[in-house]
Amino acid sequence: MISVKNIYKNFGKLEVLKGVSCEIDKGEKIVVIGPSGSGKSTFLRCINLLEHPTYGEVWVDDDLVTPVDPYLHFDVIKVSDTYKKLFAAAKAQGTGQSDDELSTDIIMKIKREDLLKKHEGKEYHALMKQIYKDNALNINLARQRIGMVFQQFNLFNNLSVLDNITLGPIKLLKKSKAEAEEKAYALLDRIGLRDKANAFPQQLSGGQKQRIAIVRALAMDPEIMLFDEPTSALDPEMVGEVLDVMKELAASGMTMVVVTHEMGFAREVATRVLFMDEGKILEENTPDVFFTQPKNDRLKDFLSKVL
Amino acid sequence: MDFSGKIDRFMVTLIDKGAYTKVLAGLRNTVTIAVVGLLIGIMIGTLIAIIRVVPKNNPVVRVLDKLATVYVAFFRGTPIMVQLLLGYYILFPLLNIKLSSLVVCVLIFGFNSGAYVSEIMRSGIQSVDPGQMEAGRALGFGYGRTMMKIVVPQAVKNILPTLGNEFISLIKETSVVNFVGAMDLYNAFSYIGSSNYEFMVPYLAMALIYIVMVLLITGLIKLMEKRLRASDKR
Ligand SMILES: Nc1ncnc2c1ncn2[C@@H]1O[C@H](COP(=O)(O)OP(=O)(O)OP(=O)(O)O)[C@@H](O)[C@H]1O
Ligand SMILES: [Mg+2]
Repeated sequence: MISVKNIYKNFGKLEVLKGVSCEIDKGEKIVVIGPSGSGKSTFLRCINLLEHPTYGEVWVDDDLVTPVDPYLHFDVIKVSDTYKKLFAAAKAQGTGQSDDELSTDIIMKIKREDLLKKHEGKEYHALMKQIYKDNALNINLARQRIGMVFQQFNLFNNLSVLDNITLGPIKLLKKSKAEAEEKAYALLDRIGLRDKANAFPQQLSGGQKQRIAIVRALAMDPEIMLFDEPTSALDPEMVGEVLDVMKELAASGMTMVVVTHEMGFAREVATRVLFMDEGKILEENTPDVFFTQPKNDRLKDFLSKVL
Repeated sequence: MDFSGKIDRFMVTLIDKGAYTKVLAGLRNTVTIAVVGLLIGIMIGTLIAIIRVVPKNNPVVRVLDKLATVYVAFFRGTPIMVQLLLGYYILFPLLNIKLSSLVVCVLIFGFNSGAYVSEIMRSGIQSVDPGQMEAGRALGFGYGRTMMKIVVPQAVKNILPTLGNEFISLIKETSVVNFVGAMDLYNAFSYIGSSNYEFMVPYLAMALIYIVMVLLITGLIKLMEKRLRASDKR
């Protein structure tokens, strides 16, 4: 349902992701672990494009949500001045190839030798612009299908709990207020916080905030939920209540990608555990194998520290 | 003539000879210009502030940003009286727009205030946790909608006291609108002064009115701050 293909991400000179690929299927619960600074958050944020990958693609079902790399798309190459010039020249020479063969050869040559320049004519720019525009729309639409829960909760401070939950469904999914509120109350019941519907975020404990942040994302009926260290900012006594909500969510069949330091959660819930270090996925496996028979030395080292 | 005599003559002119209508008209203009000016200023200021904080990743935004910089530099770099004169005698006549001096004042005060409010609003927007924008984007809202629904309301709350100070500045600055012929407190009290050949009491009264207005507004701001602090603790 989501496929991340060979993603690179640089912040200026700093290379944070160095070729990360990952196929996430419906119903999977993927837990990502790794040392601080290894790029776990960046990886997660690339999935819903809160960070734009420097290179590589993110697909949500059949929609490409990352901007287009012109070299990956024949249509773009075909309208460039470079292509037209090469094509006309080859035609004039008369190589005896069919137009289709000629076209493929030239496209391959352009890709191989990196011949596209910045200025490739009006048509090229118009097409790129159109693709970017479609992409921008795609990104917002794709994000509606991808829920995200942050370490710092990020509830909207200017809105009540109920409004936090219903804002997206009403404005983005065009639900009626009544319908959205009904759903919000049902979700609040699920986490036992119905009585907080009219409270403001400042009045809630960390654990309550995080549970409501989860519910806010769920109200959009996402196909997948991303969690970035959802319990790291919580007092120890509140970690359990948030993990319980996440376990229940997992049991209900939600597709989840969770960055966390909670190894117990990984063991219990994950269908697959990924180990990231220095911008790469160094090992991935089912939790039983992952924790008992780690292969990578750095993973062994890491596990010996955290277990 | 002693002081109480001066006051008596002032009161006679003010009340019996009906000069109070002029004072009331001046007061009304002062308040109108300041209030409507501030509202226009908030609209322009918010727009400029957003232009200045958005990521500069397309040429249109970069051009708008440059224009905004020039706009702010002009309105902060020249006295409001000069702006009034330029507007009233040059800009609007050139554009062939006929406006009463009061409307010109309201507009120019709005434009001027927009420049100041943009700086206030920008710092307000920057004081809002970036996580708020991220959460909005992650739900699927565009940049603009997240800005207007989530970030700006929080920014406004943070800067309300500063906006109050801007309002006070506007009130005080309205004392120059008579340069383009709008009736204000200065006109009204000068009129009383020249009809009595006595300016001390009228001008003292004028100062008193300004002080009372400013104190009232200051009080309101304090009250608002207190309310806001209480709502933060909720
Ligand atoms: N917006 C940014 N600008 C510059 N550098 C960044 C940015 N975001 C992350 N980085 C850098 O990228 C690297 C990886 O960061 P990331 O947050 O992805 O790591 P992480 O694995 O989530 O770590 P942690 O466990 O501490 O959350 C770090 O060195 C970080 O400083
Ligand atoms: Mg992180």
